[in-house]
Amino acid sequence: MTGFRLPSGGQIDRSQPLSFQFDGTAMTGYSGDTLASALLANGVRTVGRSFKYHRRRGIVGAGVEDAGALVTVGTAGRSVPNLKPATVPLYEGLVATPVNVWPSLEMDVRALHQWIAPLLPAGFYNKTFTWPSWHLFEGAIRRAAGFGTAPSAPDPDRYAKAHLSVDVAIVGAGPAGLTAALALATSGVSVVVIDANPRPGGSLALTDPAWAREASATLSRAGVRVLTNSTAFGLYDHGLLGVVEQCAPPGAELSAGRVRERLWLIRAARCLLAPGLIERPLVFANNDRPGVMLAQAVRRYLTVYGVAPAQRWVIATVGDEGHRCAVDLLAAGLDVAAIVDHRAAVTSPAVAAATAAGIPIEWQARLTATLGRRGVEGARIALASGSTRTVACTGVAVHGGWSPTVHLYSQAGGRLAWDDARAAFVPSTPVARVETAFGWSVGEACAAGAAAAARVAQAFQRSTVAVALPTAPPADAPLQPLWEASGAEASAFVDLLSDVTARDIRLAAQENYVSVEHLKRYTTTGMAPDQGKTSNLPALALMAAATDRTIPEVGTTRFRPPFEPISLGVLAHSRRGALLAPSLTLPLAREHLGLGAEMEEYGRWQRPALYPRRGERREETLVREVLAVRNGVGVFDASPLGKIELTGPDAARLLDFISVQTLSTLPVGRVRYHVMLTETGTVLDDGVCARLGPEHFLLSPSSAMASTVATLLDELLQCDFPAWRCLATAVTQGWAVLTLTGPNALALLSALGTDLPLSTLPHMSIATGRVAGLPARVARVSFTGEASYEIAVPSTAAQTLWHAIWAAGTVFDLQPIGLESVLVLRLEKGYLIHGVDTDGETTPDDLGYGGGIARKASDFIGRRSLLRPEQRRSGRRQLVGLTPEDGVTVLPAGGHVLLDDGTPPSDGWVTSSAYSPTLARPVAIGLVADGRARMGARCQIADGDRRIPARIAALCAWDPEGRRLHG
Amino acid sequence: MADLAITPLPTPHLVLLRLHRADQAAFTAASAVLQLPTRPGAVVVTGGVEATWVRPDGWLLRSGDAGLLIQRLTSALTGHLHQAIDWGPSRAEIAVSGRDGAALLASGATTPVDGSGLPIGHATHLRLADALVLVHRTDQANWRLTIERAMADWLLAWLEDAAMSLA
Repeated sequence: MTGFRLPSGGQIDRSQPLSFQFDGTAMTGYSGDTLASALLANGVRTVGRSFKYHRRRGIVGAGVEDAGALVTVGTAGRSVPNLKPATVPLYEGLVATPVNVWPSLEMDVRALHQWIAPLLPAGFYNKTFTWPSWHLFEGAIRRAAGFGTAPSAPDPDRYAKAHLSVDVAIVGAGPAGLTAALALATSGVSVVVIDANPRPGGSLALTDPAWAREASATLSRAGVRVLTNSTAFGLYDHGLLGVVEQCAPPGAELSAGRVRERLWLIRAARCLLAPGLIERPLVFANNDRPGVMLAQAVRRYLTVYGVAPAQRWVIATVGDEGHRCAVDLLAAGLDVAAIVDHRAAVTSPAVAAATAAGIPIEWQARLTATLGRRGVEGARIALASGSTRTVACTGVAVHGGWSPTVHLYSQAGGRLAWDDARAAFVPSTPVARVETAFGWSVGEACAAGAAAAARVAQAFQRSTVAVALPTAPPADAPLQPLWEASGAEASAFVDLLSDVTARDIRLAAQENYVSVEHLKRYTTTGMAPDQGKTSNLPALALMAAATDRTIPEVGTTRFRPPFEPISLGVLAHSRRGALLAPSLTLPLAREHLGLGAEMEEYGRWQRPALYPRRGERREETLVREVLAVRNGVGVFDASPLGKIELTGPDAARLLDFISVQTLSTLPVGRVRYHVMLTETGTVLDDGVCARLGPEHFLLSPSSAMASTVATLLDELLQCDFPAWRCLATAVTQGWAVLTLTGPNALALLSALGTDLPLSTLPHMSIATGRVAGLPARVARVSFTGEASYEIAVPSTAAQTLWHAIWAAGTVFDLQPIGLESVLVLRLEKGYLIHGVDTDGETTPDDLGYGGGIARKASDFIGRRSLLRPEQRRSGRRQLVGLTPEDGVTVLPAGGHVLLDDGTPPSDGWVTSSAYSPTLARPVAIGLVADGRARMGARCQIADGDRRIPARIAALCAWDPEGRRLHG
Repeated sequence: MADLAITPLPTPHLVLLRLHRADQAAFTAASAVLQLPTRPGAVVVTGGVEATWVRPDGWLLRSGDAGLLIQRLTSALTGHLHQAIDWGPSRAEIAVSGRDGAALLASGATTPVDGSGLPIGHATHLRLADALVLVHRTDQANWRLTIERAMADWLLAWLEDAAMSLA
């Protein structure tokens, strides 16, 4: 008989039945159930199929250690794949489906993989399926393997994030964690307790649940925050603890305002790790057959959920837990055919209880295999006498010892030591600001919790209070580890979730993957959702045996986050849609939208890309806008351009230090183009600098680099030259800038009304005065090749200026110009954009600005690097123009420049390219090896396999004499 | 329902005052106009002007008339290296109030915004979500966020979204 609900008992609410579906079948459970307990209560044995061999798998554990089968919960965008059923709380309407089955769980065609298992050992893809090519098989194999499928529909739910700073974070609310929390509760330090279960208590649910309830209430009264349903998945540097709180069950529909999960980033001055123990399985033939479960998990299903996972049991154990399990089963009215204990006969209270109950015990015996078709139907036992016995049963409870949950301790840098008596790795070296509290029994755990709390309190110069401890079962007799109970059977699994067998471990040893790091990667043991919880130690023990070493000689890998799988949704939390990343809004954003602007992101700023008219194609808009500038006047929003004000007697000196050009000689009222370098001599940014007064400059880096340049200036003034008398402040967002550009720009600016001496304002100059009645700075600089006036007014006056410009602009047929059009205008003129037409190797000489460097008297950032042979060698890529020979093909941006015969190696690449409405032909610029010396030379531009004949040309294709700028 | 209100505030009247760190005389001259706090995060109010320490050589000043304050400072600091910049056009402000305000800010801020982390009457720069914000805790359940003007729309949307997670 398979599992069923016991007539009474458990900590579930039998007055609240819940309906749910598994694999299309309607079932019922109770409030307080997990999906696993409800499935067991409904007699479900096969819950899923395994990763590689598609073997039947059932429920194995009762918590995060459940390595049996994974399920998908929920539907459409709410579906969550790869969940352990024991960690999913049951709710009304839950829909769960098995993962990795086709066409159905019962008739999974890929179960045939079991028959070709010899072809699929660990690392099989390095040896088989290699002829004629691995890629011939790869797709099918990848489709056949794996777990669940991520939903393709958007997740409709909300995820949240929260930060918390506390004195002490206690991970685990079992006996150790609760004792520690109680001891610290009134000590004056702030405490948060984190536990993955819905209720605090851990193993106390089996021994003294009332104490756990009272402890929880006491903590609540003391103001200690207890985060339940919360998994601490990572412990990072400086005590940063990553925790995911499951605020609502996976897949459930949420009412408005509820969040699915919350990511807590907890910064704790001290972390007290008390996550308890994980029960180990045993390795024997067909130890994965549905019906094989961990002994304490069986006890939990009986005690907490009132569920009997099977009727007739065999217990295989290396310690007393198996005996306790047998007694509990018997007390629940179930049959226990035998306890198979690996130890020589021992005496202990647990053994005495089993003996008194009349349960047959086979000492010095091993369970070597399970039998059955769809689940356990029998067990084969190797007796002490050497004979073998087969016992009919429907359930096998296994206990292979305990492993402390050391994942977070290891993540924090703690080293593990081997405890031979307990056959387990335990925390060893102290870790700064981390305390651990482990015990092998409730009593030991409580004592460890109290001791750890005292150490923590001492660190805060506080003291703890004495805690009335829970009822503790008597101590166990020593265990005797058993790492493999059957010989060389192929179906003895070490890692159920990754389908790694004992034979795989031996194969790794045979092929010299004997390092623990190699073992892990070769076999994939301990990877994926298990993260070594149940598989680690058996794998290490088998490797030790195969290589004639001890387990500590084999060693362990360092555990890495996450301890348990976490959803991508909670990592993203609010970062999706418009909140994915911050975007910057122009002061005139609404006005641009009012003119029909298509807004796009440029360096975090949402800027008008184009202003298409109704029915107009993108190319047509570009042509119209570009020609409007060339033939009349256009206006574009240049507000994002960086603006840094520098004042003081050393301002000019500082500018000289950051620029290739000499800016200290700039007359008041004039503007100069300049290039800034990194310390390696490559271009950091370019821009213009205006001198507003003898000791007053306005630096204008590119919008993308504005904050970088401001930070550089701050660093120089704070760290390198603190005595220099200069103040530099970024004022970018204080000013809105509208640029009038085109032959009619001057006339329009005049029509706005201004007190500025426009007729005497030459190209590359600046003046301060009033425009349209507003205080303004007007700079005559150009990025389009036409006479241009940048009108800067306080951001709060942007709308006033905008409306004034449009009121005056009607008679000039003023056009709004999007940034895409500006980029074409600058390309026609051959103006570069840093980061587009330069890369991390570009020097000023590569751009044609190397001429004055030798003559510059003062030092500047990057100067020394420019003298290195690499920066001065021939063959460097230089910025030049490129023209297609056919005069019509727009060269592909990014296309490599090849020699005239079209063969590699690459001589450079096209950095910017577009159709020029002004010239009625394509224009392009690019970085080409020795480009300036090869003017007019033929080359080929690679566009995939296609080759486009082109010639190297002058950088500037429009108005090279600059008449329009100065006109 | 969360006890929370998120309110965009009108354009503030702010002045950023910068003095050279080594220029004690300039500090003394400015102090004739108003008291400048010298401890990080401190906020003092004198003569209707609220001065907030924002960096070792900088103070954010709030008054009813930024232009007038700049005039007074400029006059007092003649001959001293300084910058008195009308900071209002570059900044926007958002008020957060209510019992759940701390939880709202904690959902995006890596440093504490209540208790000893940010005492009442203090201000601190912190990264809230992805925005660098000056947070001034004005009383038990009120915070004033001062942020770059261009970032204000995004931060407001983020705050409103985060508030929904507290409901």
